[in-house]
This record gives sequence, structure tokens and C-alpha cells, in this order.
Amino acid sequence: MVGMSDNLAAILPAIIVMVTGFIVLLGDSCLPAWRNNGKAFNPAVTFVGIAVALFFDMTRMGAKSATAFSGAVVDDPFSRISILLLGVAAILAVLLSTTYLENKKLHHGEYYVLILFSLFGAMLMAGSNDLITLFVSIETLSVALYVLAGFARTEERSEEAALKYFLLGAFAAGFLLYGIALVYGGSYGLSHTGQATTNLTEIGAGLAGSGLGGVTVMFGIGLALMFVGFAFKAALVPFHMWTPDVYQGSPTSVTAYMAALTKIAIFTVILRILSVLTPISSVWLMTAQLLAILTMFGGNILAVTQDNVKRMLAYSSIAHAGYIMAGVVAVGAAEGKFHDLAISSTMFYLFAYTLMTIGSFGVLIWLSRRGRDCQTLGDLKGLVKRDPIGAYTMLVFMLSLGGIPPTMGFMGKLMIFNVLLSAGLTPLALCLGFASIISVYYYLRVVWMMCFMEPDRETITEHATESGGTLFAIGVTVVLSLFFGLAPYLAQTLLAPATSILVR
Amino acid sequence: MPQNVLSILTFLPLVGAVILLFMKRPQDLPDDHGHGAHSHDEEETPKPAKDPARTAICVVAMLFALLPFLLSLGMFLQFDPGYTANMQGIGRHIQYIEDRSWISIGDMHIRYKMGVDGISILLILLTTFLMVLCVGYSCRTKTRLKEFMVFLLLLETGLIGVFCALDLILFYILWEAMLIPMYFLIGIFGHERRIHAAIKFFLFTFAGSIFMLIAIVATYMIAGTFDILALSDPTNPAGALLRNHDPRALMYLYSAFALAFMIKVPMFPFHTWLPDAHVEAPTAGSAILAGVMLKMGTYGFIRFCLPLFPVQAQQSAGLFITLAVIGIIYASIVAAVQPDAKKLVAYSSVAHLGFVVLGIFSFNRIGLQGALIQNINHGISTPMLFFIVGMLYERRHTREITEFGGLKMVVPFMATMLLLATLSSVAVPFFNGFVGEFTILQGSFISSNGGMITTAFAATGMILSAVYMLWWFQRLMLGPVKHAANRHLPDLSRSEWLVLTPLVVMIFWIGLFSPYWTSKMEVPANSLAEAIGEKWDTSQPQGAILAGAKPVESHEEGVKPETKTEVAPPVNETKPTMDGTPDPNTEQPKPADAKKPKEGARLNTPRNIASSRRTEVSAKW
Repeated sequence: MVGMSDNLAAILPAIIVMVTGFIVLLGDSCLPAWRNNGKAFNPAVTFVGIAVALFFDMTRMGAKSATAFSGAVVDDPFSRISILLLGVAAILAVLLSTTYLENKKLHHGEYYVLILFSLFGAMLMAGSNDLITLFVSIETLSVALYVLAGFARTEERSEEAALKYFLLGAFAAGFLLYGIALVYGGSYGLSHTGQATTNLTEIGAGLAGSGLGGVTVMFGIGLALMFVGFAFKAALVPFHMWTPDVYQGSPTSVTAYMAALTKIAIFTVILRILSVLTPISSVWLMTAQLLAILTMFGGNILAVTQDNVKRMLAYSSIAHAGYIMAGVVAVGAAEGKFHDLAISSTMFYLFAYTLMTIGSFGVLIWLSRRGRDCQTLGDLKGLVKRDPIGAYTMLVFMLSLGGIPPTMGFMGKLMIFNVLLSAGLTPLALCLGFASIISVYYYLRVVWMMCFMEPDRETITEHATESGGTLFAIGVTVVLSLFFGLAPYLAQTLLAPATSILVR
Repeated sequence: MPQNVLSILTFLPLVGAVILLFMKRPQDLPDDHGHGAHSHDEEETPKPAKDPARTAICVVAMLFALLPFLLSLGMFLQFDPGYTANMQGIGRHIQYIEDRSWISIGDMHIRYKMGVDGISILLILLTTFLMVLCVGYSCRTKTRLKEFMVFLLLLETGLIGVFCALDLILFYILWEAMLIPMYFLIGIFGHERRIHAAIKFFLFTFAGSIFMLIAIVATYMIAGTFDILALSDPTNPAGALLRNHDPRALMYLYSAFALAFMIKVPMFPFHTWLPDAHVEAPTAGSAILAGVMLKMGTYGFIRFCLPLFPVQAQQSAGLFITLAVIGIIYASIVAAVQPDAKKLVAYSSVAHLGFVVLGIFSFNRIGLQGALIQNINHGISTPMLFFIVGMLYERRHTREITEFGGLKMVVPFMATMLLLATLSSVAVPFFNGFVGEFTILQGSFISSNGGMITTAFAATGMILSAVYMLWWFQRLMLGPVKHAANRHLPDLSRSEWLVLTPLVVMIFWIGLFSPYWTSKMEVPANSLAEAIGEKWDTSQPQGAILAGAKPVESHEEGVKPETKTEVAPPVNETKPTMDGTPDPNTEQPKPADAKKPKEGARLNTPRNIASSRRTEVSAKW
């Protein structure tokens, strides 16, 4: 019997984040001194809170895996790695937010509170070992994000984004919940205790015992519905419709945060659940492959014609979800040491995706520091003359997203190719190759707009505001993107523990 | 030479690029589009206030182009062309090896492994040599000079690295990374349709190479290593694994590699990016693109496709030879009708590289050596053509052939230079092009892959090249001066002389004293020819004549000492170690060691061609 303190210790980082959220909420609304200096206090406290959470997360990295709250939450290296990535994404997003919000006159304490609460939800998702916990944490994440998407409440696009995201998200939640209910019903015969369960460990044990024979129709439909829900959240084609509108409409700092955070969290969950479903991988492997292929082609093809960079990056993030999904398929198909390799490679790609997505949105934020939102390709015209730093950092991110060496995106793609081929998924690898060719076109389009075109209108009228935080965040992501592209050793070591998923 | 000389050589330009980044950006010069007579050369009439930042940029860039050149020259002179290690495959002749562990993904180990043999060192020397000229030429770039130099130096790092890399992933990373500076050179500094050309160039190459990446990983799955020394060596476990694998799968892998290289060369159906890229690129970009980057494709065939997949290469030789011949004839015909002076040169590149591919897929030592020397030749004559077209463009701001004519009267020295380059490209005897193309045709003629008919078709390419190049020259330089604007064009400036003279020297050095150059690469070329199984068409009398080469295959019997006298290279003032190292008299009958291809091989070097001139040559030297 584990004590309460052990239970709490298992979700310590998440708790720290939540408490920080309350502190910011109360401080901003109750303390006049705090409120008057809100634009310094809010991000600072948020930053410190997340950093402390990450610190505790890191110190626990070597600890033994354990479950808590009667098995509802699991604390294993995989979840810790995932929490680490989530925290890094949140910190980068906070750094990017400050000046941007000020420029857009959106500087409110709630922003950081919502960031912290959504992070709390995401961290719980990473550690949830029970479908109910999972659902609650997904909703915690999502509801905070719905609000964040509409945070620029004076802008129609932002409102539209929030509403769209909310409605479709609610749909997805419905699918997910209904799926969970059916899985619960269908798990009746699976569990060794002879009772229905939503606990992943027990479902996993049951499936391992019964194999395909134990899968009832109800269970199967439940799984399918659950995955529709996940696919909505992860923006896999054909459940991606909300993504471009939401990414485009939301304030850019929110888009950066959302693009990275939800992907990390949802793919953590997908990996965990699929590792539970490994005994019946023959059922879902084909579907997952099809989803991956559809997603990478759909995202890339739709991105080609976009003139809005945010929208293009939204489609590109869909395509990248497809690449990550390919890694997930490899996890399901690979055996033995390749299984672990597939997990660590997928996590590496997620990390790479986090850095380059936040980085590229970060450059847009950096360029918006003159008060005008920088969104379209036209805004980027001739950038290299106006703002060489912005242009050349954007270049690195575009190359990284396109998977061109010497960047982290290339290394990630190499790893994905590696695991796909070692899992015998050559057709999927070839599809990834074709999809990358398409993607290079639109990434290079950004480059040529920035570097080869003359600026067609004078945009340098207002004086740029200082934004050290933005510059710092971009700098970190750019350096890491290049460094891990040539020497991924450090990132690999950092992510290595992820291979032990407790439920297996 | 220090142990890591290749790393130093590769990354010196990168250091230069980084230093340049921190230097002051010079003012852009006004882009004078003053058409015609009074457009002057700035070298001759320097602007009153010369921007010190410009000079500084040029000096630093030149320094970091010269340093690698001198270093590679030193390596080239110290290099032992007869070096033979006790192994099979490419590794037999690789020197200056550097080997470090680099990246591990699971139990996949990517190594930082570099080394050069006679084939690659020539290309490296060509790269550094051309880069000095390009930097020298490009100091006149008016806008964004600093970026131009940075991209040129970055490009040089990539190019040298590609020719040094012995690990497949290292090779791939450099091969891809090098696209970026070239993309920028075309995209920023090119002409009107530069963006179209740049993106086309990038997409074509990327489309080919992404599948090569998959094939590289798949090769690793089969053989367990990225090290091409091991992979190319059939006695090595990795090489044996690769060779004994399912031939169908190997064919796919081979095709993926071959596709990437075909696009890069570019061979016939994939050549469409080249004219665009060449025409739109700035002069220095075209020179490097034609001079070195296309060679990466042929180098890829020689270094990867043939040694790693010899059987598959043999099987596909017919296809490649057919495509090469189609390319030669088609590109020659298309070149003839181009109204654009630069585009004509671009199409001539396609034709010339068709010859190189023909030589490679002849699968005998003559063809291979011809291909290798033609690689170098094309890397000298075509950049020279591009430089001169660039100079014309700067004077007249047009590349339309009809806009010129009769320039011989106005700019006699430039006309002479252009004539030399043209004749070199046409492959007239005494010029370097002849050595390469004749050897290739000879190799193809005696090869059972090629044969008489193929060679006859390919040989029409030589005639056609005379047609389009000489006609081109005639329209540009001969006849009356048709346009008033052409009457007062300035002749070559001092800096232009400096750029062109070294190229002329090289044209005649290779044209007249080719054995000096072929001797550097004949040992690896012959080893490669042996390793992939030479193709001789013994039914033809030439095969019988060249049966003199056969002792190499029956090397175990020992080499007759009298062949040794034939061996002495006519030009060897720089390499006293040349004949000392492998002594054939103490030769052991151990198979790996005994394969001394030097002796017999010398018989069929392009010296056959030059043999009539040999007395003259040695008299001069």
C-alpha cells in the first residue's frame, strides 16, 4: 500500500505546475503590487514554476517506475521524458510570449495561468495509466487551450479559432469518451480479475493473456472510437480540418505553444496505449500505417499552396504528425531491441519537431515585434535585408523541417527511416521520402521569399521593441537544432530512458 | 602532413566563411546597366573612393580559398599514386585516412571517416583550384558581396567533404548540405528566372537523394556498416554480406543510388534542371556547378555504385550506355540551336558528361581512366567558357548570341582565350578534351558493353560538338562587327587575365602531358576495373592489341621486367617516391598483394595516344 506522499510524489512536477498556476492566478488578481508589475511578475513566476517542476522531474529520472493513485497514474521514465519535453516547450513558449502579448495589448495574467493549467493537463496525460484519468487530463489541457486560442478576443479570427477548436474538440471528446465506455464494457472478459476495467495495466495484462481471441466487437469499436478522438487531437488526416484555422487564428505565441504541447502530449498517450495494444498489433497496424501515409501526404500537399505562413506551418505540423505516426507504427511493428530503438527515435523526432516548430513560430513572433502581426509570405519578402537574424534563423528551421542536413530534422528523419526499415516497413519509408520531396518545396518557398525577393513595401516604420526573451528562445532553438543535427548524442542520452514504458 | 589534414582542408573554407560573417558588410555598388560602348571595367578605372570593407572581404575570402588550394596541392604532391594497401575494394588505394566514431543510433554507428585516393584527390585539387579562380573572379560582384563569398566558401567545404567522405552518411550529409549554398548562389545572385532555376535545381537533387538516403539505411540493414571501404571489399564480412544478399533487393538499392547520381550528372532524361541552373546562376556559380558539382554525380558512380554493386552495375550497363549516348547526341543537337550563349555551354556540359558516363560504363580500365581524365578536362574547359561568357555578359548585359559577332577585332585577347576554351571543349588534339574523349571512345570501342555501333554513335557527338561549338565561336567572334555597341568593348582586364591564364595552362598541361595526370589515378582506376570485372570485346582486333593489358589479370605469374621500362612516367619531377614504393620484383604471390595493376596498366593509359609525342615530351622535360 503506497502512502499519500508517494502518490503525490509520482505527480510532483504536475502539482508544482498547478500550484504555480494558482499562485499566478491569485497574485495577479489579489495583490495590487503584483498586478501593477504583471508583465514582469507573471512570466517570471511561470518560468520559475515550470523550471522547478522540470528540476524535480529530472532528479526523479533514475528512480524506479511506480504507479500511484491505485494504478490511475504511472510514473515511469517514459512519462518523465515526456514531461521534460512538455516543460521545455512551455518554457520556450513563455519566453516567446512576453513581448508579443504586450505588442498585441493582450498582457493579462490569465494567459500564464492558462498556459500553466494546460501544461498541468499535458503532464498528467503523460503519466495517466487509466482511461478516465486520461480523459480528464486531456480535457484539462484542451479547455485551457480553447480559451488560449481565443485570447486575442478583439480579433475575429481568434474568436473563430476558439469556437472552431472548441466545437470540434468537443466532438472529439465525445468520440473519446464513448470509446472509453465501450472499451470498459468490452474489457469485461479481458481482465484477470474478471471485472471490467479502464486501467491500462490490467487491459494490457488481459490482452497479453487472451491475445486476439479476447477482443470483442465492442472492445474493437471502442478502441476505434478512442483513436478517432486521439486523431482529432493529434490532427491526423482526415481528422485535421480544425488545425489550419485554429493555428492561423490563434495568437502566434499560443500557436507555437499549442503546436508543440498537444503533439507531445497526445503522442505520448498514443505510444503508451499502443504499447498496451502490442499483443493485438495486427489489428491496428494497417490502419495506423494508412493514417500515417494519409497524414504526411495530406499535410504536405495542402501546405504547398498556402500563402499564410502560420497556415502553412499548421499544415506542415500535420505532415510532421504523419512522420511521427510513422515512428509510432514502427514501434508497433518492431520487435526486440528495435522496439526500444523505435520509441527513442520517435521521441527524438518529437523533440526535434518541438524545437523547430516553436522556433519557426518564434521567428514570426520576433518579426511581429514592430507591432504588426507577421503572418503572410508577403510579410517575409526581402526579409534578409530588413532583418538578417530573423531570416537566417528561419532558414535553419525551414531546413530542419524539410529534413535537410546538417539539422536536427534530418537526424530525426534518418532515425525514422532507420526504424521503419528495421521494422520491415519499406513502403512507409518510401512514402515518407516522397512526402519529404513535396515538403521541401514549400519550405524553400519561405526561404526564397525571405532571401531572394526584394522587399516590396516599407515595413520598417515603427521602432522595434526590445524582446530579449524572444531572441533568447529563438537562439536556443536554433543552436540546439543545429547542434543536435551534427551531434545528437546528448539528446539521445537525455531521451534514452523513454524506452521503458511501464505498462508493457 | 598532419594526421587530420583532410579535416583541415575540408573545414578551412568554413572557418573563412565564419570569419567573413563577422566582417563589415561593404556598400553595394550601383548596378550599372549602361548598355554598350562605355560600360567600363571597374578594375581598370577604379572608383575614386574604394570601399576598404570590399577589399577586406575579398582579401579574406581569397586567403581562405588559397589556403585550401595550397594545402591540397601539397597533399597532391606528397601523395603516393602507387600506394596499395592489403585489402580489396576502394580501400586499397586510400590514403590520409581519418577515422573517428561520430554518431550512434541504437547500434547503428556513423563514423567520421575520410580519405582520398588518386580519383578523389584530383577532384579535390580541381575544386580548390577552381574556387581560387571563382573567388578571384567574384570580387567584382556588386551587390551583397559578403554573402556571395560566404556561400562560395561554404560550398567549397561541402564539395571537398563530399570527395573525402568514406562513410555513407557523412557523404550524404555533405552532399545535401552543399545544396544550400548553391541554392542561395543561384537564387540571390542569378539572373531573371533565378528563383525558378534555384528551386528546380534543389528539388531535382533532393528528389534523387532522399531515396539514396533510404537506400543507404537499407544498405546498413544488410551489411551492418556505412563504411564504404568495408562495403566495397568482397573479402570483408560486410562486403560479403552485401554481395550475397538477394539480387532483387540489391538492384533496388543500386537504382536508388544510381538515380541520385544520374540526376546530379545529369543524364539524359533528368538533365532538364541543368540548363536552367547554369543559365541563371552567376558566373562563378556556373563555373563551380559545371566544374565540380556535376562531377559529384560521376564520382558517385565510380565511388559508390560500381564498387558496392558491381553485379547490378554490370546488368544495368546497357541502359546507362544507351542513355549516355542518347544524351550525347540529343544535348549536342539541342545545344546547336540555342540562341543563348550560356545555355549552349550548359547543353554542351550534358553532352560531355554523357561521354564520362559512357567511359564509366564501358567497364574497362581505358574507359574508366578516360572518364576520370575527362572529368577533370570538363572541369577546366567549361568553367573557362562560363567565365568568358560571364565577361561578355558584364560588358554587354546580354547573352544572346546574335547580339555579338566580330568581336575578334574588338577584343582580340578575349577571342583567343575563347578559341582555346572552345577547341578544348571540341576535343581537338593537343588540347585536353581530346585526351579524355578519345580514351573514352577507345574504352567503349573495346568494351563488350559498348562496342562498335555504340561508339560510332557516341563519336558523332564529337563531330556535333565541333559543329555547335565552332559555329558558336564563329557567331560570337568572327565576321564583321554587327552592333555598334560592340565596337568599343574593353579587352581582358588584369584580373581577367589572372583568372583565365591558369586555365589555359591546365588545358595544355593535360593536353600535352596527360600521363602526369593519369598516372595519379590510374592505379585506383585499374583496381576498380579489375574489381568489377573488366569487359573486353575480344572479338575485335583492338581487344587483341590490348591483350597486353592481360598480364595484370594473370599477375600471379609475375611481371616481366621489361614492362617496367615502359612504366617510367615521362613527367615525374615531383614524385621521386612514385616507383620506389611497390617493388614488383619482391612481389609475393599473395592474391591481395599481388594485384599490382601498375605495370600492365600503364600500357593502356592515354599514353597510347600520347605515345607518338612521347619523345617530344621527354625532350621538353
